[in-house]
Amino acid sequence: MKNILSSQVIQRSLLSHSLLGLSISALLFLICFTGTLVVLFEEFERWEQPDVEEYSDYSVEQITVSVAEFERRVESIPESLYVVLPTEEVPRMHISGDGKEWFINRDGSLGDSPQEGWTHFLKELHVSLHLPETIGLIIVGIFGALLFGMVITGILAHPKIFKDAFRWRKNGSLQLAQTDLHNRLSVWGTPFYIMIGLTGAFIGLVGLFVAVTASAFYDGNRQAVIDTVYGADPEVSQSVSNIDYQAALNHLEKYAPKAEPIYFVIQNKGTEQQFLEIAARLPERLIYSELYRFKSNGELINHQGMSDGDIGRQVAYSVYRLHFGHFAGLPIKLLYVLLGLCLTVVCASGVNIWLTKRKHESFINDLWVGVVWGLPLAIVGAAFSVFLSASAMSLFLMVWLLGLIIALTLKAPKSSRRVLQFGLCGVLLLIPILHWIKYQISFGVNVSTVINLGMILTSLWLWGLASNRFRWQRCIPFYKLKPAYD
Amino acid sequence: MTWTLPLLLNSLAVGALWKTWLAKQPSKLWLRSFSFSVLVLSLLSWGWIVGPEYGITIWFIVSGIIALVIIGLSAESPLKSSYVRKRSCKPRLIQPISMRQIFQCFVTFLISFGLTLLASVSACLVLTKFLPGTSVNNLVASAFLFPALWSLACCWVLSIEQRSKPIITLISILVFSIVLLSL
Repeated sequence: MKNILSSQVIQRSLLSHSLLGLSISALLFLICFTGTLVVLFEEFERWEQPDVEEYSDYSVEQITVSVAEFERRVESIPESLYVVLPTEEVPRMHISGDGKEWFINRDGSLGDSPQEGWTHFLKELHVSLHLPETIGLIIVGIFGALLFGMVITGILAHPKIFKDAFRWRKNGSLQLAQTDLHNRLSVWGTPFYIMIGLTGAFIGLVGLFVAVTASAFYDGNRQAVIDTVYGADPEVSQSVSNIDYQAALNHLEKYAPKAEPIYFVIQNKGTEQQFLEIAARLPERLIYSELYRFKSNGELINHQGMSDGDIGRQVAYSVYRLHFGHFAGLPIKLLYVLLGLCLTVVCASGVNIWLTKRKHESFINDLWVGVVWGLPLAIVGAAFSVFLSASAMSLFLMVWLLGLIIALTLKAPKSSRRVLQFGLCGVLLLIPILHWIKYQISFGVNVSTVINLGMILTSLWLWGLASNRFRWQRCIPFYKLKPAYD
Repeated sequence: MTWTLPLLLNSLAVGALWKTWLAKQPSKLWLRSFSFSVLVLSLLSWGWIVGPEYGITIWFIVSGIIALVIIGLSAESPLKSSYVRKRSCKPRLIQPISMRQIFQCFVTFLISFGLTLLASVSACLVLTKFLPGTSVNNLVASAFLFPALWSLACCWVLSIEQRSKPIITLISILVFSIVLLSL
């Protein structure tokens, strides 16, 4: 790198990397941290509603009964009615359309509605920052794009990328240790961060791009752009009849034997344009699904070409699984969580480097502790909404505000960090206990037990971290722990 | 445990890369060649076991994580001496960026935001129109390029103190794109 790039380019890259990074650090930290947790949203949803009936098989009768009951419960039949099938990751079945949604019991009757609780709050915080949906999505998309820019300028600003490839000098100054941590986590995670940034930017900004493209080339017709990329619905005209799900499944098995159905969509139910779509996962493919279309009698119309159409279509439809790590099962999700945490640490350490470079401490040091340690505390604290009548959002705001107040009042970043870490320990310990008390789940291998144990282990690890620092701090004269500034 | 073989190969490859890095000698060419060969072999084995799409993704992720584990395990341990710790924790001033600079940067970013957006969108529309591929491929390629170009343009504007150069360039791109699109 040193030979390729001039020192001027390196300096400029470092400057823009630092300036941009510091300007967007807090929000980027929030997006990265929530994104890390959202990877496990399916598991959290199961943890949040553990009493929903779970099973891995389904029957055509079950679908027929649930669709009939759904029709009875709603005033008008939705244009697209979704029946989501059980999978290995989520062994639950649910039916939804026009904002109405219920879980399906084993006998086909409808059970509870999915709660819009803590997991929903977490997803919304990551996807749109709880802003109006389109604006929030665009803002988060912009942050994805900026993350990409940060990675590129970071690489350009790093002339010793190979020389320091495996170096972490923890015994140097605090600044050196933070810089090494920042650089190593950044360099080895680069492909992942680029992928997350670009796919995130695509998800957030594709709507904007579609609008512009439609205005430029399609006379303002956005649907035409979407149809060009993802394919259009088939034109069907037939007499109204009941859908033969079994025939459709039989045809699918012959047509695409390796396809694993994940959901059904009944389009235009009860009209002459009625048809059935079966979305199915294909092995070893990153595309979300291939869509197979059937007439009411189960005869195959076509498939949408997500798996074998233009490469652009395949790429566009692979973005979701690639961004959220929802492929190849739980091991990949855990790897995503690990690298997501690394990216979150990179965001925090970037600001830490800047803070240690300054010759003085100010309220910003405290504020940053309130952001970095107050945010996880607030997000985990919002999970109390599972047991209380308060909303996750109000709990989140209250706890985060409290964290910021603690940090700003103590005026001693190291002490306030420990207070918030101990607070997080306590909350992470309390939530599983309350969960076990409320739901009285058996201690066998189930998702709730695993999540509860995960929380307890994280709590113990944090306890060790905070206690370590506490002992370390006790070696320093007490007057050092007084406010670092007035 | 179908992941065992590629995982072992991947670990071996990154471990060998680490050894190469430790050696720091040009004469260790055989070690370097060996580690890169095993790295390629691990990529192939991932592709063979889980398919090329999963394989490439997992290879990048797993390689990074193995390297980070090695870095964590081989990190130079913190010094215990309170004197050294006290000394080493003392903040050092190496051209720190001031709050004023950050504020200025943020304002510049907001001001340049619109111009960089317009320039990158228009450049991508030109690509959509003139790239030789099918309309689907061109649209998707441009949809990915648009945020990438936008962010790089933002970084470029922020990196140059004399802002007139990037502004003139971005306006030129915008005008040139509009002319091309109106043809």
